[in-house]
Amino acid sequence: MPTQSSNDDKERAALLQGTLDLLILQTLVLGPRHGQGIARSIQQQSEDVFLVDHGSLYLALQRLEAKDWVKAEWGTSENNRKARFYQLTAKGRKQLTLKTGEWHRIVHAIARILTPAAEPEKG
Amino acid sequence: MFWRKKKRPLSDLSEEIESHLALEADQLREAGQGGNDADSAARRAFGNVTSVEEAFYERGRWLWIDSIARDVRQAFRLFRRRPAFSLVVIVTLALGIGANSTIFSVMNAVLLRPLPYRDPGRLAMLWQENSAHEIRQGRVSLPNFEDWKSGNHSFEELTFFGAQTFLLGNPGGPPERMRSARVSADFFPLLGVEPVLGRVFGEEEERRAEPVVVLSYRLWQRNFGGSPQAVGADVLMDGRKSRVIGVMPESFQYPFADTQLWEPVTAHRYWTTRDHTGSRSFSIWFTLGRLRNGVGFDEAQADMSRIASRLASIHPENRELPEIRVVPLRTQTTGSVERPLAVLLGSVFLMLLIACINVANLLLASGSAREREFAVRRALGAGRGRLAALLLTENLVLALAGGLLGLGLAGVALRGIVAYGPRDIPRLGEARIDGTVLGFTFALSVFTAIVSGLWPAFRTGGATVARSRHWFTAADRRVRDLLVIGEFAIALVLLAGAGLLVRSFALLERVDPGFRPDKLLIMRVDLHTGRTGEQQAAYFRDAVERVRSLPGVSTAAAVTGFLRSDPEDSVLMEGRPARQQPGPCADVVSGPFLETAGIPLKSGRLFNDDDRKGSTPVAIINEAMARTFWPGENPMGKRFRIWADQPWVEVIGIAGDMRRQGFEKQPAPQVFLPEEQRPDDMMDVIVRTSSDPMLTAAAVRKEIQSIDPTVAKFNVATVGEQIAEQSEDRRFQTSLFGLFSLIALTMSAIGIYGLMHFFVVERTNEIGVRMALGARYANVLGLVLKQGLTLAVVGTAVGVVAALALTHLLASLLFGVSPTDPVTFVGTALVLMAVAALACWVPARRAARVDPVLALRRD
Repeated sequence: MPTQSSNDDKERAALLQGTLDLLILQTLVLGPRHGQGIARSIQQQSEDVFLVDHGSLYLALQRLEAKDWVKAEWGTSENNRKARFYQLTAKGRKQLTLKTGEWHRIVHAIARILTPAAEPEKG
Repeated sequence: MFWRKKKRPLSDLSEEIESHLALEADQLREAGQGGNDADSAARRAFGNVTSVEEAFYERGRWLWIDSIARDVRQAFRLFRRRPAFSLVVIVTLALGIGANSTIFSVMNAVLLRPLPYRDPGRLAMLWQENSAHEIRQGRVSLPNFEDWKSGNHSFEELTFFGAQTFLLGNPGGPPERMRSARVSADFFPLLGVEPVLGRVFGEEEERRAEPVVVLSYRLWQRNFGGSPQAVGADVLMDGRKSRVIGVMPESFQYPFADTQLWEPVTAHRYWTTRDHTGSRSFSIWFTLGRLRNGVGFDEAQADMSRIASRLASIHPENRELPEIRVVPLRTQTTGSVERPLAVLLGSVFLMLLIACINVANLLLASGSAREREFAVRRALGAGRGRLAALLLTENLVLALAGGLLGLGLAGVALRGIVAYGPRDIPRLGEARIDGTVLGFTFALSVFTAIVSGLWPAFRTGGATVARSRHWFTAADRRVRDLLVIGEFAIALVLLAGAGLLVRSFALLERVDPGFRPDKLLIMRVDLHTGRTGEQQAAYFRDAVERVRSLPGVSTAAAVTGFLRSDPEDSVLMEGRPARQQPGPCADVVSGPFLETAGIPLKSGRLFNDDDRKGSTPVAIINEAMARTFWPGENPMGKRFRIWADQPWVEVIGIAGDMRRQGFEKQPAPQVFLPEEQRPDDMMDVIVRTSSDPMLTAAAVRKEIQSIDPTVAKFNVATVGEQIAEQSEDRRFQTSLFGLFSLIALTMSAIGIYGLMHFFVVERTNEIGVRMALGARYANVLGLVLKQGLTLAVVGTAVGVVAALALTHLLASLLFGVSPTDPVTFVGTALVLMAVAALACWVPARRAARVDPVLALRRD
């Protein structure tokens, strides 16, 4: 279950700067969600590899909102609780495509470096 | 954009976090965790709520702005709580800052703002000089100018021009006398100034000597109401028609501030009759040049000096003015006022320092009143820096308020200076509060806030609850003593400077002019050309006779230039081979000149009716002339010759010396010649009246007008007025300097009063004990006075040393006193001590009247 303590911090791969933004945007592709839903969704989809610090999630959401990549409004959750729902904007959608492409290029490049088989052998 | 979007309130985030925690707990409960466990697990998963909220709050803001905003609010609260204290600080700083802004505005307009020409840094004027004979800034003849122009390698362009007066015809009224500039077609392109209306003339018009003129903005406004119809209209100059082809911008006033129009140099009647001579000694033209790109003034000077020595060796006429001087146009225009303005700016800056010291003292005193507040703030966790920032911010708010008020004062003062200041400070009329002055004032306010607030702020940072009862440490007292000492030292420097200037002024007022300036009227009459010598002489004889017969007039005469005269180039004494340089001033007189002016005849005789055309040419000389040219000899009957084409002139009388070239100069050698023998067309009619001269002025003007209405006259003025005008600069400067030092003196007095007052309040206890133990009234009085006067004495002593080092900067502005004049220094020190004694007296008396019982009960 998602808990977090300071001891765990060191053992867990830190989320790359900007990655959280990307994950949030991706989560919102399927439709509006509230913050807690986003956190849970990221965790589940990453098969619990990423443990999102819920606090920093809200700061990231705030950041995205300020950039006009997402917009938010208060609504009601499935179990009738008041919650703030986030939704992708057109600008956010464009960013997502852009960042995803970028991400794939990086992953590809890093993979090539980390996989010596793909490199010519040195004598 | 963040300033358009409403900022999301923190409460909204808190609400969202609450909702998140609830949702998370719901989910945990669904997964089987029990009630309270689920809530706390959700909180654990979230992490530190407060730190997220803080991070949210801090995002997009700068915390220091936040705390500055708080400090500013606090400063305004303090202002409301202590209006008297704040007002004193603001007014003190406003006086200091306002004075600085005023003088800076003048300096900005006169010295800093670029001249209104294209690339003015490359413009220079060129002069012929003779440094051995102290002849400065002589003009040039056309043949020499041509050689300069063709021979130099430094100037892109050189142009010559002349200044002329002319009579502007007014339909239905007497003509008006004005100044025109006679210039070449390359004059305007060289300066790089375009007309605001119409065009300027070209080479073709100059060559054909076409009668066209370019108007000054002022004349255009005045005579044509600023109408575009002016172009193409005619103006009447000396009775001849000229066509207006353009109007120059308002800022264009070259070469003289009162130049009313520009005409082709060739268009004037003089060009064919008089000017265009081949003589190298007919030096009447001004020269203006534009340096080639990249050529410095020094290089140009070296280049011109080379030409000068060549010309002097080829042409003997050039030996009278063998040097060429290149003067940057900037220096030419404002060089003479640089020093006085710098001295004034220095003096107001010193005054501002005194203001800062007073404010620092006030802040220290108020700091002691707020000791509890600071101690509490410290105890609640405000750091040293935070407290210092608070105090500096408070002080900054006060200083900016002072700056704002000072700007208002400067605005008023500037209007006064522009209206009543000396007219001959170039570009003074342009002085106003502009962006540069605003920036200067702002910077000065910040500087003031920091200088006056630094020690108090630093001081306050260390406040602790434990120490709050003993606020003043020995270090503080030393600092406050030093402040007062510094204040007195600065005040002494300013007072000594003012004293020297005032003494110069007083000495100048007491100078014997050699004539009696009271009850003397003066009016310049210009017959202009077109009359024979006999007619000129007859006109002035008639004018003098008519004026003498007016009621209220005791006597009258005429002279070429009563208060101004330039020496002739040279003079030849009979029996001596070489001409002597420079010659005496030579002036033509008509009527009883010496009697009217009040100049005594020392020996010989006056002119009489026998000294007329055709009889022996005679002259009356002054004593300076006798001393200079006939030392140890009796000049009576000796003969001399000033102009080569004139006969020998015999000395028949010796008159007393008269300071006509300004009271600050030694009387020059002088020759007076009778109008009948050497007529002139422009003379000052001088009139000695038996009562108030201004009552007679209108009658004199009317009488002269009635002789010939086409003759142009200047206004009638009293000689007293004209002399006052000569000393206008000095009066202006002395009164400003005096005013500043009086303010400084008052501030120093307030400063030492404040310190001693505080000293007494702080030591009331101790004084009570002393009195209870038997100290008398006089003992206590002496205790306080001694404390205060010691500081004053030390400050004065430091000030005397500083002043001795500084007053030489004033040397060029002084008259008759040395920069270290002991009388002034001793007097100044005494005044300062007296003021200090007075300022200490009040708190001392208060101390001596302390009731020991009350004093001891106070705690």
